[in-house]
This record gives sequence, C-alpha cells and structure tokens, in this order.
Amino acid sequence: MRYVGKKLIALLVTLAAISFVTFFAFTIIPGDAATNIMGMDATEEEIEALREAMGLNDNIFVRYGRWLLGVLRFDLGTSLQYSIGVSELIGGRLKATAGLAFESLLIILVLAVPLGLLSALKPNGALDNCITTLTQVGMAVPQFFLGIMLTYVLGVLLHVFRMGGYVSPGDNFGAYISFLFVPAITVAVPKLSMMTKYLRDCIVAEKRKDYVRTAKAKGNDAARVLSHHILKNALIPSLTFFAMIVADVFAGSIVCEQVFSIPGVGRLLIASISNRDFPVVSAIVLYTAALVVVTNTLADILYRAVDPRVN
Amino acid sequence: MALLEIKNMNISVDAGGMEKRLVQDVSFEVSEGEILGLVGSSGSGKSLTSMAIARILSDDYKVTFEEALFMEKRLDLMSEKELCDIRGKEIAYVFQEPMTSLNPVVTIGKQAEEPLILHFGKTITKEERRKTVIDALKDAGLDDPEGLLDTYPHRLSGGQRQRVMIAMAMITKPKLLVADEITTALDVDTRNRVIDLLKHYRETYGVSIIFISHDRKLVDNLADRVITISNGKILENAGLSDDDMPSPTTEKGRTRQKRAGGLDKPVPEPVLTVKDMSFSYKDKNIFGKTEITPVLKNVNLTLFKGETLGIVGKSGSGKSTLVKVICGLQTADKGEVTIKEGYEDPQMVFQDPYSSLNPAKTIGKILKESLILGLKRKGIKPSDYTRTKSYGQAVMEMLKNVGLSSEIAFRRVRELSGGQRQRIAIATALISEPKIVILDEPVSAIDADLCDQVLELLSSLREKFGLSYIFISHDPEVINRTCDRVMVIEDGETRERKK
Repeated sequence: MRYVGKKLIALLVTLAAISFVTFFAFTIIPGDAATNIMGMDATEEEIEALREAMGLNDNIFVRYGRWLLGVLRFDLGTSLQYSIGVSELIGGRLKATAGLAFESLLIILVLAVPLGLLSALKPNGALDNCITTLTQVGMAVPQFFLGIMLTYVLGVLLHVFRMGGYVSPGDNFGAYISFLFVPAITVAVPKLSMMTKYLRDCIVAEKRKDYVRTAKAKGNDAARVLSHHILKNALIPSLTFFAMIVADVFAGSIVCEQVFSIPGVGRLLIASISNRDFPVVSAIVLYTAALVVVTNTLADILYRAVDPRVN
Repeated sequence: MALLEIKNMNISVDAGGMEKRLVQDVSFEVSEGEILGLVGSSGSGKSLTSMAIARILSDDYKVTFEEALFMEKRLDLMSEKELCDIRGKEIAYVFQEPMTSLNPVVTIGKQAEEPLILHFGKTITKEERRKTVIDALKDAGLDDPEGLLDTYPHRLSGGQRQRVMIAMAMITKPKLLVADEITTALDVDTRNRVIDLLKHYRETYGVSIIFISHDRKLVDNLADRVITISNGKILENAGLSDDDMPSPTTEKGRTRQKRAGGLDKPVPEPVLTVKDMSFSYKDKNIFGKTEITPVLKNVNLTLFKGETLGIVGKSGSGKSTLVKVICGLQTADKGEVTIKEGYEDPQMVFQDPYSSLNPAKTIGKILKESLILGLKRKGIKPSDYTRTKSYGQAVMEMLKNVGLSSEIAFRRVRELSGGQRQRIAIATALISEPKIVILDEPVSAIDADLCDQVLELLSSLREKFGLSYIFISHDPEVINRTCDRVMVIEDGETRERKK
C-alpha cells in the first residue's frame, strides 16, 4: 500500500514537471497565437492589443499558473483554430482514437500469447522459424504501406471494406466498430510482431530454468508445464512491454489516422501544430505524456501484484 | 526382486553432426527399500543417468536402453503419457538447486499439492489434499506448515526450500526417490538433517532411494550399496576402493603438512586493520522518521601480510556488509578501515561466477576491462602500462596463472564449466594486481573435486604474488583447510576463534 502511495506521488510530480516543460517549450518557439489569429494584414498595434487581451504579455510563471489552474479545473482553454473548447474538441477525437486503440489491443492480446506459445513450443523448429520470419516482416513493413495494401486488397479488390467510411459511434456503433477493424490491424501488426517475439524469447528462456525440470519430474505433460508453470513466469516481464504498447496506441497513430481518414487525436495534433493552436497542442502533449506515465505506473503496481518476489 | 533394473543405458548428444557419448553401457539395479549411492565427480554423467531413468532429460539427449524395468514394466517402451503417470507418482525426484527448483510465482501450497492433482485428480477432495500437504510438510520437518501454504519460495531459506522439494516428492508416497546432489548447496547442519530425513522416509514408507553425490563420505554413511561413475561408465569394484577420489581427510593433512613445512614465519606485518567499526542501515519511513537497523557492532580485525584470514558466520550475520565496508562500497558509521600503503584497492571474488560475469562478452574482453578499470583506479596512464606489455599479453599471462589455456580468451561464460568460471572470476580479480583479495564463498557453488583444485590454485597464487586473503565461508571444513586464523562473526560482533 505504501508502495502504491509512493508511486502515486511520483506520478503527480512527473506530471507537474511535464506540464511545465510543455508550457515552457511553446513559449520559446517563435510566432504566437495573436499573430496567427489576426493574419498577415494586421498592424502591429492591433496584434499588440490582442496579445494584451489574451494575457500573452504576462510573466511566464503567471501564464503557467493560469494555465495550470485551468487544467486542474478540466478547462484547457479554447482552440484558436476551431473556436471551441479544447476538452470538447479532444473528447470528440478521442472517440475515434480510443476505438482504434481498443480494437488493436484486442488483436494483440488475442494473437500474441498463442503465437508466442506456438513459436516457443519447439525453438528453431519449422513453426518457430515460420512465425519468426512473419514477425520480422511485421516489424519491418512501414505502417503507411501496410495500410495502403490492406485498403487496396480489402477495399478495392474484395470490396469488404469501405474506404474513408468512418462513422461516429453515436451514429452507428456497429459500423464504427467494423470500419475501425482494418485500421486496427494496421496499427496492431508491428506491435503484435514485437510482442510475439518478446514473449517467445521469454518463454524459451524460462524453459531452461530449474523449476521446469521439477514440474516435469512431477508428472506434468509438456502442455501443462507450459500452461501452469512457464506461462505466468514469462508473462511477467511482458507486462512492462505491453504497458508501453497501450500508451502508444492510445496516443493515436498519426500515420494510420491519415491513411484511413480517421478523425483521431493524431491527426488533430498535426493540424494544430501547423496552425500554432497552442491550447490544443499543449493539451494533446499533456494527454500523451500523462498516458505514458499513468500506464507505466499501473504496470509497476500490477507487476508487484503478480510477481511475489518484487518487494 | 529388483524394483528398478537398468540394462546398458546409453546417453548421447548430437555435437555438430557427431554423436557424443556421455554415458556408456551403464547397468544397475535397485531393490525395494534399498538406498543406492551413486558417486562420481562433476561431469561424470551421474545426473544424466538419474534423469534418464524416468526419461526427464530434454530432447537434446538421446537415451537408449537394452532394457529398463520398473515394477516389472518396461520404462523404455512407455509412451510419454504413460511416463507422465509414473513421474511424480512412482518415481519422484529432488534436485541439487533448492533455490531455483521451485516455481517462483506459485505458492508452496499450490506447488506441493500439484502431484496429488496430477495423479489422483478428483478422487480426493480439496480438504483431503490440504491435509495431505500439511502432513507432508510437517513430515519433512518444516515448522508452521499451515503458514507455508500461502508463502512464496523466495521467503524460504535454501534448507527450507529443499525440505519443501522433498515433501513434494514424497507426497504421493513413491516407490523410488531419486535424490540428485540434494545436500550440496546446504550448510553442514542442514545437510545432516536432510540425511536423517531420508533415513526416516525409508524406515517409515519403505521407499527406495538413489542417492547421488560427489561426496564419498556422505554416501558411505547413508547408502546400503555404492556404485561409482566416472566418464560416463560404471567403475568395477567401486564399492570398496577409495583411490579414485581423494578423501577430505588426506587432503586436509596434505595442506597442513605443506604449510608447516613452508616458510619460517617472519614478524607479521598488518596490511589491513578495521578498528571499532560499526555500521547500520538507515531507512526513512514515510513519516520521514529514520529507522536504524544495526548490522555491525564495534568490529575489530587485522589482516597480516601473506596470510589467509577466514571469516565464518551464518547468513545474515553481517559478513557481506563487513566486506562492502572494507572495499569502500559502504561507509561505516564509526570506526575506521586502514589499508597499508601499496595494498590499496582490494579486489573481490564472488560466490556465483556465472551470474557475476557478463554473459555477452568474451573472457578476453572481461579481463581487459577489469585491467583497464584497475589502472584507472590507481591513476596509471594506459600508455605507461602498455609500454611494458600489451593488454593482450597481460590477459594471456593471467589465464596461464589461473591454469587455463589462452584460447579461453575467445570464449564466453556460458561455454565454460563451473571450475573454469571460478578460475576466470579469480583472474578478473587478480589482473589489476591487487595485494589484498577478498574471497566471498569462492567454492560453495562447486563440487568437492573442483573445490580442492580451486583451493590449491588460490594457495599457489598467494605464494606467487604475495597476496593476503580474506576468506569468507559458511563451511567450517573449507575454512579449517585454508585459513591461518579464523574470525567468527555473530550478530554483528566478531571474535577470534582459536584453531
């Protein structure tokens, strides 16, 4: 319990640090929101007046404090580009990203464990070599290429996938799920490959340990040795790895969202950066950073729960 | 009627297309209720032989028999499924490594009841299972068996874990128990108690035991009959002769004789002194209050030039902390450690050479790295050093000094045997040319034959380089054989033991 408390405090400190760095980084890059809003034709006086009105001329700590207070009240400001609340804007985009993330995580979870197990069944056997080759390809293929190929094969040749057919979950939940399936495969393939390979290596390493010999001597058959003894030991190190994948997919995939025209967080980030939409960019950066820190903290806490040796 | 009858067992591995024979034409039998001793040095094939009985060797090994009869059934003709029904039910195993032989993430209770689940399934209820496990743990001499059920292995000591292993093996009341070096990793006290336990099982349940060990004396004391394995073959007449293995008593005599006939003792010159040193661990709790756990209390010791000072103590007595303070890895609360000029930078040789050497690097690289770090600590410029000899030369010389051939430099740790690894561990410590070497349980992970060789090596290196040793061990026999003086450390306090 004390450990969880310590972890949570560390989490808050990290988040505070990240928020400051994020804020500070945006104040030192050239160009500001006022110039952007007023456009090229505005006079220096007009821009200065807007700056004053937006509070851009205050001391950086004052501005940071003001922004932080807003963040704590879940008020992230208003998007300069879209003139709607940032929370509302990101919230809407998150629906697409979260759906994509959940589906790809599901694919990874459902496939990585059996593939890893099959691969580790007979190291360097035919099946292992086959799966290893596939995972190598999966890791190496660029995401945009995979996305385009899937679109071409499933959409153009086989007509089982409607291109650009993203539907908001509120409108038609079934269509939303089924559309996101193909993009989810695109996101999942490289991560699934890494996860499978990692798990395979963990299992192979565990197989050589002494407790496996004990399990065999007790009368466990090969399958039960694997399922009742090796698997839990091999999954423990994979947990941290999986946490990184979780953070990664929830941060939104810029490439995949672009290829499949999905209005997700990744695309919003690109658009906001090019428009210097500071409130949106900072909110997304904060969201991404928080995601990484929170999932890692959860993984650490979970790690302790499943591995009795960590204390 | 023999319970087990093995006729012409052969074990081989495929070594790059060539078939390498590890065990050749081994035949033996075990009667009901008999304790058969199987002795042999490390690498002789005794463990392979024992594991081949219930065919639990991995597929890398090819095992053939002319015939293997167990309870009048042909083990060699059985399918994997039939073998699974025999393993853990009729033939049970206990292995050498108690620390790693239990599954680290499964509770003792769950592990101990597994043979019952596997072999009796639904015929016994959960309550009966629980009761059987508790009885078996109690029978194996473990205190508080109920409390152990939900405990994980890492909470137990080596001796306790070995008892759990034995309880687990005996839980199905097997006909044959194969005990493979089960006492090697244990201290003397625990060792004797485990031996008594085996005797108890034989008397109570009539179980036959194959007791495998490199320790001839131990086997003679326990077994009804002894066979010796050497280079994968059974030696004829082995039950009677003692020649193939030097017994510890003669070895001890030899070492003593050598020392007595050695140099005349000059006036001892202290090279390292520890004076009134105390050390405690300070841990801040969440309220910022400091919790102090004293580890060492007013420790005094002196190491003289050219001697071997033994330090004995139970685990947790503060031995390792003392060593850390001497090496400067921890700072003492009070008192001081003085090292004579020219004797700075003491080096350590660790207990477990496998995990203390980087597996990814070649031996040559490891040695070179230690040498460079050593030069750095002493403030010697690499160019000044290489003027006299190159790093490569230094590495080769050091390998020769520890009795290894120079081609070892190109190998990695996993390609070496236990004895070679321990020699490398010594070489890494010595290559930076220290004058004081701290040996932390240097022989407790290796068997008696190798142990003798390593001790001999250490003693010759001491003469050759004029070293002083601090020798830490839990084994009084090893300490008596090697040390000039012995300090006992108990609850953080030291006293000198008269020999």
